[in-house]
Amino acid sequence: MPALSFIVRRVLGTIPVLLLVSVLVFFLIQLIPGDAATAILGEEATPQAKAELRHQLGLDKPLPVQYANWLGKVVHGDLGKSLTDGTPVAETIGQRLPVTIELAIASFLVALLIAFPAGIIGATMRGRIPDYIGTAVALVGMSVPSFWLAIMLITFFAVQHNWLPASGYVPLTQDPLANLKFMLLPAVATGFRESAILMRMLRSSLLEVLSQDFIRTARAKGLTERVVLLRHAMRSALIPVITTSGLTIAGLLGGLVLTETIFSIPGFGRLIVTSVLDRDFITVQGAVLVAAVLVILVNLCVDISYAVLDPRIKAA
Amino acid sequence: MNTGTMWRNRGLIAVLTLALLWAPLYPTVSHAAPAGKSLPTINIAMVSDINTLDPAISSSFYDRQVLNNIMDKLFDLNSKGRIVPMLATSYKVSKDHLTYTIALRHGVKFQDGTPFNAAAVKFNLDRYHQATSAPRAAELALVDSVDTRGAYTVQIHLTAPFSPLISILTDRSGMMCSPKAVQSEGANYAQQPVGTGPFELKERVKGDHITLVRNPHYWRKGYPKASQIVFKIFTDPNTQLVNLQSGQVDFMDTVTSQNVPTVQHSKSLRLINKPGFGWNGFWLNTKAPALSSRAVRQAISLLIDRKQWVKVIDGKTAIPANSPFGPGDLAYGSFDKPPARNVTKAKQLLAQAHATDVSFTFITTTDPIALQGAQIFQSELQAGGISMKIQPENFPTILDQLSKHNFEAAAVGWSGRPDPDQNSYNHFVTGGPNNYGQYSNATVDKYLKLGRRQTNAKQRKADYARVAAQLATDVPYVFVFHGNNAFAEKASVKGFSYVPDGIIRAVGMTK
Amino acid sequence: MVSPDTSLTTLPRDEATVPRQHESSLAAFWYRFRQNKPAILGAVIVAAMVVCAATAPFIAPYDPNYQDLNHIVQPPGHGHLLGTDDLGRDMLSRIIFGARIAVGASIIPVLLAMVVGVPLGLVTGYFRGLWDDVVMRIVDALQAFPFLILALALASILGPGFLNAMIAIGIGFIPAFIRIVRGQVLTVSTRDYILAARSFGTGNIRIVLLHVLPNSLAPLLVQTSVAMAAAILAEAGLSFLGVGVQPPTASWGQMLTVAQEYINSAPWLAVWPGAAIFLAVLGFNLLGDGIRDALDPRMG
Repeated sequence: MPALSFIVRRVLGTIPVLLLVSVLVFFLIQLIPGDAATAILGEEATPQAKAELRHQLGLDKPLPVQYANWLGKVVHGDLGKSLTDGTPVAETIGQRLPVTIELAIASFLVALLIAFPAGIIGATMRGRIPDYIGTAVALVGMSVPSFWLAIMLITFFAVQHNWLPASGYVPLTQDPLANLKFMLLPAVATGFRESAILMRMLRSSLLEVLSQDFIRTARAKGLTERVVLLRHAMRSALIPVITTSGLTIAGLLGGLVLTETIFSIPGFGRLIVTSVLDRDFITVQGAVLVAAVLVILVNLCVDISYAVLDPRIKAA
Repeated sequence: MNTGTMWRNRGLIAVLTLALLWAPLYPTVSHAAPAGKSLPTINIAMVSDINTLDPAISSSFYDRQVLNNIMDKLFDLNSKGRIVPMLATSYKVSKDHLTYTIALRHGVKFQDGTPFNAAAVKFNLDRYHQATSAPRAAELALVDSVDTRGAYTVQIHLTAPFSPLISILTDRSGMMCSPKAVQSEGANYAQQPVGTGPFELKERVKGDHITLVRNPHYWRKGYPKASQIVFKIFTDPNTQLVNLQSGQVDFMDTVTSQNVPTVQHSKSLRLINKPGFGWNGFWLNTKAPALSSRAVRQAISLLIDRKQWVKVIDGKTAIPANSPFGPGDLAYGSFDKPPARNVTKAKQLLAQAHATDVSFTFITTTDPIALQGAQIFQSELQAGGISMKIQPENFPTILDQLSKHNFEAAAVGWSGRPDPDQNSYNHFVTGGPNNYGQYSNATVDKYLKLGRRQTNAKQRKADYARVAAQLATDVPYVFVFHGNNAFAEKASVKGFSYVPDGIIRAVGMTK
Repeated sequence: MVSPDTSLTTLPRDEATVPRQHESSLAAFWYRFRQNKPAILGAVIVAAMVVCAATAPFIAPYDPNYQDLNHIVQPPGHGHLLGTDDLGRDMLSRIIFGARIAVGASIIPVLLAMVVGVPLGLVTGYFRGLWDDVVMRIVDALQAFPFLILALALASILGPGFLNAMIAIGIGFIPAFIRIVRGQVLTVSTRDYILAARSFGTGNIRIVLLHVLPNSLAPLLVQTSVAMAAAILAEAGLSFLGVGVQPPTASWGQMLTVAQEYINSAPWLAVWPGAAIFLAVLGFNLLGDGIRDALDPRMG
């Protein structure tokens, strides 16, 4: 099956990228100006303490050895220990990640919910008022800072009208309804921007497909516009959109850094912000690595599903 | 050490270097404790996460908030800040002030079922004062030994008279842990603390919440009045308020000055806004080249307009300060009234000292209100030709730099304790553990030492007045304000009783 | 293999853009751009921001750092058109001076990304081979990092401050620039006139500079505009989180941090700095769309 060879090539192609990502993340620590141990412990730290930390960070060995040791541990799920409280970084990330994944999915759903109708209306009513409104909303969505939107949403929905909680988090497993209430505003704040990108993508992709021959044929066969649109045009138009969706994950993860901070959600993004402010470089390093690996894996999945969906790629 | 920040302990986690060596994992711990039916859960918004639940090594204000609900202490404070019995029922002091004989309450059991008695008290006090480098050892430095006299009497022997002793036993040094639990849990004890208190630890999710459940065998009949206490971490005071309004929490620990009117004008909320024991302002490192001249430090003090500053930043929750002894303190006196701002005199002082181009770096927290306050100082000092650079850092980093004396100026305050000695000795005595500014003055040392030995209240007051006067002259610390403890609760919440140490005692709370 | 372009707000249609011969298309480009009203609006917004930044000391009604502590957190009016902030500083003046940070943020990282990205893109695209593979894999790896997270991590390691934030954002942009230029070079270098030039024995450097580079300018322009919008958002985000511009310097992101503190008592404080960021980003986005449409009339 040709798709299989594509998948194999695609999976294999991920390996060098993963390795390079690990190299880049490893060198993040090397970027700390001056001696990392001094930067972390302060100038008057005892030489012993510094030596100990250098040893913990593996800074007392040649760089390639340091890298190999570090990578060995990472592969076994050991991302080191937090510099502020000594908890294993992998454990903290493990605690925080599900929250963020839930929020990312919720935001993505919000984005789809806005993008799909808007994109379809925009493409089918091209040049008319609904299209202009949709295009304008998409422009606003791409330009509005998500953290400002978040503050405005809190002001309106929580402070002024008390309809929704201003911030906080309840696990889905503990109380699904409360969880939904807490997730709604952050998901909208994060998802709105991604919806704009998706909508633009969907609109232009649909426009392109609608002008193609097979659509004209379908129309000529007397199929209703609805069937033409949903059965034929959407299928082809979705492919570039799915690719974009894969890319959205990176944007979402970045956006969640801000959203989780504003809504005090104990997720992965807030972990990054607090560790950055705490100068907890080991946690920062681990979190950045996990974020990049996540993006790579999601993109891999997207590409594979895309290969399965799109007959044309099999030839590629 | 227990350090509040300049702006009312907001958003700060006192994570010390100790925490680096000691790595807690905080698994979910369940104690079999049937929750009282129909008793409510009280949710309390807390501005910072805790660091540890082992009183022996705790050094954070927020640890105290939670610990005080799990552990009883030998003594407690009442709503006026006076010492009252708790696990102790009475005490006697020998004539030479070197032996304290303490009678203990009968019939109290630890949460693990083991009995509370004199042996348990000796175990705890020995664990605290014999530790090599723990915060409790510093508090109990003058304790020589602890003896049991029968099952319910202990004697504490001191190496020198020490008036603050009983006051110290109202806090972590007086907290009684189950000896069995300490011995069997070892280093894990902080994850499964066991006391005699009204609540037991159920679970902790780091950075998010700490859940306590009712101790059904609590020795005070009819208490506690709630089935669960949940401390929820909300680092932003505005978030706390919004969550209080929407009913996500019943009580919040940090009302900022600008949120006071909102709480006051709300019918469904109640404000608790009362003076505490603490002091706030900023350290000037007397050994830093830019600030080693006393004239420069005096000029800085003269350039700061404390009244104006308090009005802008903390008008409704603080009063201006000029000493470590606020209105709630035994040693409070007229010396606490700050000097008026005097730019001309400040400039004269600088000119006489040939101090031109004075410039220094001021470390403060990243909290917006802290930065707001720092920018006022910056602008006021600029008027006198002093340039101040603001460097925002997180609280653990600041404490770290402070304890290494690796700073010029830093905004770190003190959350306050009931006894004046606890509010001054460790901070300003030569070589004191909290003397971040490396200040050393013979007069201050002398009167601080007299203050802790005297038992006569009037005499002590006079001693601390001498200390305050000398500190105002030498300015190792620019005292700016004494902050209130400002809490807010739902009007439906009953049974909270304010104590000036700022600790939320949840034992009587219900709704 | 699908290479994610994770860093930017829009997906630049680099592959779709058909380069024309640049000399003759300039007039057509300008004509089409002028017809595009949103694009003109974008240009006006951007120009207004640049003028504000350049003339800030002359047009701002107050010193942006002057504290009137007797009139803090005033609502709009009373001699302060947009009110005052938490230290009694004039909001309008701080918004105007904040434009300087925004303009800086829109230029410095993009310049940095261009200086590194354009030559690398040209060289790898033109010569291909091993180095191309190596560079492109690094680009793939870099693009796996969510942009804001990478910038945050870099800013934390370099230390908080405006310039470090600019460097951090710039590094995040480099991959997109390499990719765009390289893609353009790949398309252009198979064209007849390049092949012709080669067959005449024109030197590689000469071909790259005289023929390939000018043809890459169009998509580069779109990319620049999009990146500028992203840079303003990113700087505001970093300053909001406290790792960008430090007080008392007026920056829109930092003003929002303060505003969040007053969300219960003075919600209007958040309106102006947020609106300023929004307008600036909108301006660059409109401009970018306009340039893209004018270059490639098929789209849009």
